[in-house]
Amino acid sequence: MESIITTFHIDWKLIIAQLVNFAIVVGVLWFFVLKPLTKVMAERTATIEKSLRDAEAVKQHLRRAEEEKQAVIREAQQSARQIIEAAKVTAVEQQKKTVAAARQEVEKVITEGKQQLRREQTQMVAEVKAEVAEVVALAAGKVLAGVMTKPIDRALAQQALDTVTRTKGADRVSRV
Amino acid sequence: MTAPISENQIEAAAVPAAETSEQPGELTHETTLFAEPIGTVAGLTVTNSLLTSWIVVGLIVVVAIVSRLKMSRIPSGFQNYLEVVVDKALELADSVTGSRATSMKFLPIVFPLFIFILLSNWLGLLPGVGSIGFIEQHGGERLFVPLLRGSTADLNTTLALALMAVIATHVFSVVATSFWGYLNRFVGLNLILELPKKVFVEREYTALLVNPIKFFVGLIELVGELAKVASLSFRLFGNIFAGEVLLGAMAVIFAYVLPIPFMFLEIIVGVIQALIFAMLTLVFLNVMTTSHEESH
Repeated sequence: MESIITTFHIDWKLIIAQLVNFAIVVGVLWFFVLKPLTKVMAERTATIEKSLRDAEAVKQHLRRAEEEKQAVIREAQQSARQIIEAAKVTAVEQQKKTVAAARQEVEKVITEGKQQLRREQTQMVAEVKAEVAEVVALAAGKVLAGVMTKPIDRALAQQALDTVTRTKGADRVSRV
Repeated sequence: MTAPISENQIEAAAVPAAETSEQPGELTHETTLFAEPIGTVAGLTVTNSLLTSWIVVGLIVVVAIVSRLKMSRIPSGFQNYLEVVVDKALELADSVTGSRATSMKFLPIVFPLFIFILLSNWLGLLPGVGSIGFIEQHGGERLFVPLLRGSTADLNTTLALALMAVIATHVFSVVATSFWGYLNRFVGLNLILELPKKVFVEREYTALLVNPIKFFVGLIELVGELAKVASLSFRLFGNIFAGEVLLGAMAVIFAYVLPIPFMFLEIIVGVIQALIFAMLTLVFLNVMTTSHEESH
């Protein structure tokens, strides 16, 4: 042991000095490098991990939003188709109703026209009757002024009038 | 030890390492096994290796403070390299400890060890270290004393580092496994105390043979702790000193070009030795902080 100490000039003071040197290195490296650096690295790792988690969450959210959007679009398209179908059905029904109403209106107009015609015909016949009766009466009066008695005259007039009425009324009806 | 150096004694000189001359009156430079004293500071003999250590410490302090000042969450420049080194150091430590938390506990001891030894080893390779110094009159002889010497080429430095490393393992062991557990690792008092119970209560008669063996194994481990100090310190010192001698010898044979491959070799040796020292310390720390039963 003594020879080792002599050969290598081992000096406890130098050993302590080197221990102090190393203690300074340990302290300086720990407080100025290792502690802050490992802290910074850990913080950065945590930030990166959080960012990755957030990015994954955003991705999931985006995917869900896209799915929801597609669902809404599909639903809207389906609703639109249903609305169009319903509109078509309604339009057809409305068309039928309108046609039916128009038809009904036409029939009504025709019926009213017929009635009007009938009324006019009746009125005309009555007028004609009156005029013809008057004419016949006048003519018969002139022709048969001396021959005919009053009851015969009236009976003939009535007969002529009936004949005229039947003939004219049939013509008028057939024209209408 | 020498007296403080006076102004007229100091003379800058550039002399090839390991150059020797037996002729009296001529300049003599011998590569010594020990660091040469170059002066005294407050009663402390300052050797050239101690001076180199101070330079290494100064260098580390400056770089550490500058790094701290420029440190940011978004790394740039030197911080990138520093982070890579620390990250790889942690990964390497994890491979030994098996846990990042344990690695983080040992890192404040092991990482500075690596850095200090590495820089000390490499600083010894720089031109001027070992070749710039002063001439000292010693018994009629003119001796060349280099101003700087690789600090790990001095057993005082490596011994200090090894002592610190082994003491640190013991301190960590006490903290991690309690003082009783630490004591029983070497002295095995629990083996003696549990012997009557094992023999008379549990009827384990093999304990009569096994426990004394374990007790003596503990004592051998105590000797092993001294061997750790010796192996760590002499390995580092031997490799670095041998490297310096090798470079000196190559420079004497042919001063130009020839030492270059050996310079590269010594650069690698410097890294390897620093790594070996740090890794062995890490392994010792890991072993000492696990309970004695687990470590077996």
